[in-house]
Amino acid sequence: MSRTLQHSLEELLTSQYSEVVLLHGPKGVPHYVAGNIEQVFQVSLHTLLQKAFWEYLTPNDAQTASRSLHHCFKSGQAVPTYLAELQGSKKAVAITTHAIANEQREIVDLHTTIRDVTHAKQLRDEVLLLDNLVNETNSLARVGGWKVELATNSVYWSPQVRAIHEVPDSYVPTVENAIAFYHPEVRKELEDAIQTVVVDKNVRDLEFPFTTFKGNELWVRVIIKVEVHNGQPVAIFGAFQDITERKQREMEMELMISNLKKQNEQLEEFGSMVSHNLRSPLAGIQSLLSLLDDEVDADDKEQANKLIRHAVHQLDATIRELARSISIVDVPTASQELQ
Amino acid sequence: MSALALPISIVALVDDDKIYQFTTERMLRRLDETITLLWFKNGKEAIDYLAEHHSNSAELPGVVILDINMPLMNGWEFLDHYQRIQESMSKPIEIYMMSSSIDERDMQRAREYACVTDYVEKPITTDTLRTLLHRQQ
Repeated sequence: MSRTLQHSLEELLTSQYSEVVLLHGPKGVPHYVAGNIEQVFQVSLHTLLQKAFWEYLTPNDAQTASRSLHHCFKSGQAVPTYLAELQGSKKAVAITTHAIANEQREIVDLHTTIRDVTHAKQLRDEVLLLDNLVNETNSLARVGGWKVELATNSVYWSPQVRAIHEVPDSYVPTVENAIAFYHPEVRKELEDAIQTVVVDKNVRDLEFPFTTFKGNELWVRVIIKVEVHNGQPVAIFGAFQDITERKQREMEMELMISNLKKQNEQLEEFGSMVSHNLRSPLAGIQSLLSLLDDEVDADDKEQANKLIRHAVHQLDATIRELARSISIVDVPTASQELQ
Repeated sequence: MSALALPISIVALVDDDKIYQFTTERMLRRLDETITLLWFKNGKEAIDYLAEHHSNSAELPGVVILDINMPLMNGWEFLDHYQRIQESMSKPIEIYMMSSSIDERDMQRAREYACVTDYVEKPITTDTLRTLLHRQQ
């Protein structure tokens, strides 16, 4: 839990509330008032007794309060606590109204408690904001949290972890069924990692292939940490992230590199072959010309000329073949190949 | 024309190219008319000859000029085979790899064979041959 959230919740637990108790009829004009009048309403007792208390509320809240009073007075049913805002001061108040009956069970009066919950509401809003932020960012990063209590083996999955598993709302995770989502060949590695984390207390960060409840194939990242109390491991917990897109990109990249290497090797082989087929007859011609530089008999001269002509034909054939074989081919992309 | 007697009497050329057979033979004759040229069109023919005459030093070449690209058994395969029978040769044989390849990887690969004395680029000339054969002194 973040320090901000923890601080907010502790403040909620220890907050002191200012409260005003009113006795009034169905119109809401009090004839009896007790409590921290000035702190809540910021008016004097005398002023408060002049008009219906709901007139201090914002127009919408005033309408709700007024209707509730009439209903409560008619039916005798208590008005469940509701939140309202005081006009002008922006103070938040929690209002509860009960009917007071006489011995003949006739409603004779109404009893309303108005509690200043401004600070508590601010803290609640902060907590909701934090919770919303965590959920939104978790959803964006496709990451969530999980926990297993070692004493009971009970499993907790955060909403995002449940979303990645694609489980229905009624699904109850256990250690056994959680591990069954992983491919059979990696389950032992995961189980071993859990066992060693409990023993050596070092964090594990692993990536596994995974099949969701609906049968979709994913890659997930699992981070495992142990929670220790008084030196004893009491739980394992961690992060759980859908890394399918990243893994897909990595695989595409690897395939692309492998294809490039293969093409490079083929190109080198082709270059080497072309170089040999061009250089071989050329070097032959150079040898023969070197021979002809010296004195040679007529037979050798004729033979040398014949071999030179043969080498020239070879060169010509190689160049023609080279021109024919150089053509642009459509190379499939890595993602096409993966599909 | 040189009439200097060469320190070796038999040279083996392992190359399928007729031009090299023709030029090497003529160039050797100019260097020393008494020298014998054995021509093998691939590594297999050369290995068979060496294996058959391993104990007869008079029939074995002092120098082998070896091409890389050949049918049936190329120069590399010849070297792999030769390493296995080298110890049984009754006299030392110098092997020169001679190829039109200018690929540095071929040169490096040739240097990795202990039995290869040097790597020489084609074209062959009388001067190249003279230099190689006089190294045997």
